[in-house]
Amino acid sequence: MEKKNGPNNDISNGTKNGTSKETSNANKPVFLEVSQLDKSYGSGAARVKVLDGVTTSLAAGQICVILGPSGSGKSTFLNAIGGLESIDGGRIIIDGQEISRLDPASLGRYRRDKLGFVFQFYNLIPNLTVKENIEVGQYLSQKPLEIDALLHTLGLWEHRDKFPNQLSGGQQQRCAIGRALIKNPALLLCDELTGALDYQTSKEILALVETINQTYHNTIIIVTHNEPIKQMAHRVLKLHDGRIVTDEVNDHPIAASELQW
Amino acid sequence: MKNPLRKRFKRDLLSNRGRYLAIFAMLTVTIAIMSGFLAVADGAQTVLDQNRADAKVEDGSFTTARALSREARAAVEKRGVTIYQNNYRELPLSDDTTLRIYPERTDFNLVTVISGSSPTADEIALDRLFAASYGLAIGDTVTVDGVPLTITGTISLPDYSSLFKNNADLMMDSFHFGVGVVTPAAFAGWPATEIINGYGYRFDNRDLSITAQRQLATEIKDQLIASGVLLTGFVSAENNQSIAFIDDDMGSDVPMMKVLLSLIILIMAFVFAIVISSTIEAEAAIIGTLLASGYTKAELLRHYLTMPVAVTLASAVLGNLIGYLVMPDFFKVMYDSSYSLPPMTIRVNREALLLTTVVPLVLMVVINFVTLTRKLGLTPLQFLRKELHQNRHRRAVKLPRISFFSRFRLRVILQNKASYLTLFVGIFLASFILMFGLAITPMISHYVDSIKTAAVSDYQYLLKAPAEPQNPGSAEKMTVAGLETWYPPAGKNIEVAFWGLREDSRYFPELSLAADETGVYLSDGLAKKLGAKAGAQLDFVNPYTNREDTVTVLGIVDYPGGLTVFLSQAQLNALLDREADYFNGYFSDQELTFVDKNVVATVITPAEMAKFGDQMLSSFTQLAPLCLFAAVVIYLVLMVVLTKLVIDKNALYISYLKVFGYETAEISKLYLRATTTVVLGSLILSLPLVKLGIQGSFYLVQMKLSGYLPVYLPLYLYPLIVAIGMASYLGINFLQLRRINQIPLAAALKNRE
Repeated sequence: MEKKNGPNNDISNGTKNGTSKETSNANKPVFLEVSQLDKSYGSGAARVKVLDGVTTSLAAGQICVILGPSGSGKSTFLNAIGGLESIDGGRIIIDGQEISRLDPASLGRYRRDKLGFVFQFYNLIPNLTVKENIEVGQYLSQKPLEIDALLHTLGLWEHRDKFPNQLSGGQQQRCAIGRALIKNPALLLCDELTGALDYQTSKEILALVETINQTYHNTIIIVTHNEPIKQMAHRVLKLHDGRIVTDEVNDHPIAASELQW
Repeated sequence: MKNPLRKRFKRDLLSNRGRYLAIFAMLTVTIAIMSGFLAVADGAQTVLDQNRADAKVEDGSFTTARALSREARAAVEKRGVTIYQNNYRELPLSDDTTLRIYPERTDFNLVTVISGSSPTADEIALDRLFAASYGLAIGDTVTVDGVPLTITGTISLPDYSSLFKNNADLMMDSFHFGVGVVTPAAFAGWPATEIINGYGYRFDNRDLSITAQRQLATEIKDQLIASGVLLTGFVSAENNQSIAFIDDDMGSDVPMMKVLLSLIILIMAFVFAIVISSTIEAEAAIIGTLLASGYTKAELLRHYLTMPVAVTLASAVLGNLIGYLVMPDFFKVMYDSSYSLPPMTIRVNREALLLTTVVPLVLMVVINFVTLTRKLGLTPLQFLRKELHQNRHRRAVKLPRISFFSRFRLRVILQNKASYLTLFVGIFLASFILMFGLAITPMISHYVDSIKTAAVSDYQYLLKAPAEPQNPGSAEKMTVAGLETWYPPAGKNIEVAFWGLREDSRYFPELSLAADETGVYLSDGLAKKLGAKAGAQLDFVNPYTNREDTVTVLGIVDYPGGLTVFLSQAQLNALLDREADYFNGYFSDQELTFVDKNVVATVITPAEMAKFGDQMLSSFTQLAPLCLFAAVVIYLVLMVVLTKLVIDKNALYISYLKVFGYETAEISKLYLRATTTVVLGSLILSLPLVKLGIQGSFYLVQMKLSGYLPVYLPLYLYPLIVAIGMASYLGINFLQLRRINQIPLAAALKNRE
């Protein structure tokens, strides 16, 4: 693993970027802890190791961007954290709970209680309106966010009674984020959330993620191919061949609106 | 908070209204027919049982050559039965119609007046069904010995719920045979020579088991024979078709209807399972997202199970309402045109309710639960990646080197094999129903025609005692007897006519029956019914003497006239313990006259033999349109739902083809012609199975018939069924073509992964 600016002994914050400004996350508690994570696909000669001893941690309330080329293991890593992918070895501890040993039903409860997922493709339910799609997430939570306020935050208040096919791609992704966020999850996992969007819309969505992080203080992990996005993150991990090759701390992330690519 | 996913139901119903309406209509019609039919069958059974108890129906009856002596009566009654006088008279109303008249009975077989009133002097009351079939009404008259009797009422008699003139008749016949009652005084005034000595008996112990009743009936007959009574007829109520046929009929109709309708519900459950499978495939990514968000599989299972349960429940409610409020009138007509029963009351029947609500729901839930459990057994990630098949590495079926279009169509068929398989099963079932409905009339007509053309003589005379005609002409003497043989499928004895023929019979020139011949020939119907071949040995019993004999089958004769055994007259006379020159009938090509016309028991003409066909045709009149309706509904519903599913599933690819430059005609060649091929193939391939099914069903039908009705499926029915099926499909094809036209070029490609 390539380490920038010294050893990665403070695993909750990674290492400081040489050009970074003062971090605001230095004293936050560890929220996510991963150690020696292994995962392989296939068997025999065709066996491919997609995660190879991945070890890292993340403080609560941070935005973490995971970068890497196709096949580097970044989505597998995200899915393992989300309890969607079983692992061959290692440990995943989220908010003090080890999830790597949970049975499927307990994993379901974990996802229900703590996680929000956003995917590249919005996967909205076509015959539910925007508001109803968000209610699908609300139903899962004991203490959901206030839906009208969230609709305003998402910029979807005017569109709340529209069906997904009446929305643009960006609006649909906002709706998908709203569905994940309404539960007020401690951890928001975003897999290529701007992958299907144009430049301007992507920036709007990323700004929304930034706003959400500042408003609700969720820990957010974004998996992306798009390197410039790392500038808005507090933490940046780069994966290659299943290993973390770079683990950076960004104490002075820039606003999403200032991102350029 | 209620699950927001429930908000999808109403919109899903609206956007797929054609599909759900078709399934709902099919289930509702099926449930309505089943609940209506079962309610009426239950009403008929209830009124039948009640009437048998209230009207004190006989436990058996017999006729004798001479009046029963006091000693013989006492000897029989000592065994725990009461014997009642049950004399009657048969009055020919026309050449081929007989009215059997009884004095009104006061201790048993009591009359139920349906309309009008019981007769007084110079009046008569007629069986309701016969009066209606023969066109007689209250106020009309029936002339007996020159005296007009006014019809004062229509009635039903518990010993004639089915109007069989003779117990060995193939079918009841309300068009040519009826019963009526007059006052005992009027009956007593008729000449004794016209009266037949009849008796009925009832067991003193009304709680005897069936086995004990059978045993006691045998004892009564044995006692009568032992007392020297010359029986001319003896039949227990259980074996009397006039009393028991309705039980046999309902006993097979009701389960057959239950099985048929349950099959339709089963098919609809599979249709729903296919619809759900297709929905899950289409919504795989959404399901993956929901599971990733924390929804449980149980929640999703409940969600997807709700629609089939709701549609089935709604169908059950509406179906039962229609079943109880509308259908009874329809089914009552079927019973009223076949049976003579007191008016029935339709009540909610617990078994029917169970079969039309709980059973459809259970079938729907179980089949869809299993389907959903299998479909939802994947991981959230597999749903998100749309890896919906457990075996990802299965190889594509290798297709022969045929044209691209043919291979494409084969791929479409393979892709939708579950839909097409269900379509095939549904088409088979619908074609079976259609064939049954369309074949019954030509089958009866063909049988009637074959009886007429195969009649050996223009007249057959059955005599009460040997007598010479005044104009013998071509008349040929014969001996006729009714013996019984065991019929295992029905678990009872059936009556078989034994015809003793002269060695050189001009009416059966193909039969070589030497006087010392010890074997017999069977009519082909009897051979098929008993499954007997040449060389077989059959046991027969003479019901009036209890003598048992075993005969060897020499061959099979093509004779459709009934269940008949042909043997030499000498051999039959020996079996009957008669003199060698005994005879009791004539074959003749001309009408015979006898000095004493009362010596003639029956005259059978080809028309007489075939007249049961009128009753059968009348009983089945409503069957053909009902079957046609049911079959077309099944064709349409299955074709609409399943073919639309194929198009919906491929909407994206159809859109791609449009983008590539394919024209609608070419796309329809790929997708619609695949479906057309399957529909046409299913219609044609199901025909041999339909034929087998009909033959199997008629094996069951034969069990309740006293004769043998050969299965005859005219050739024209096969193309007709295919034509009706394809005509149903053409409309669907047009709709699907329109649907293909409506698939947009760009919209289907928008926002796709």
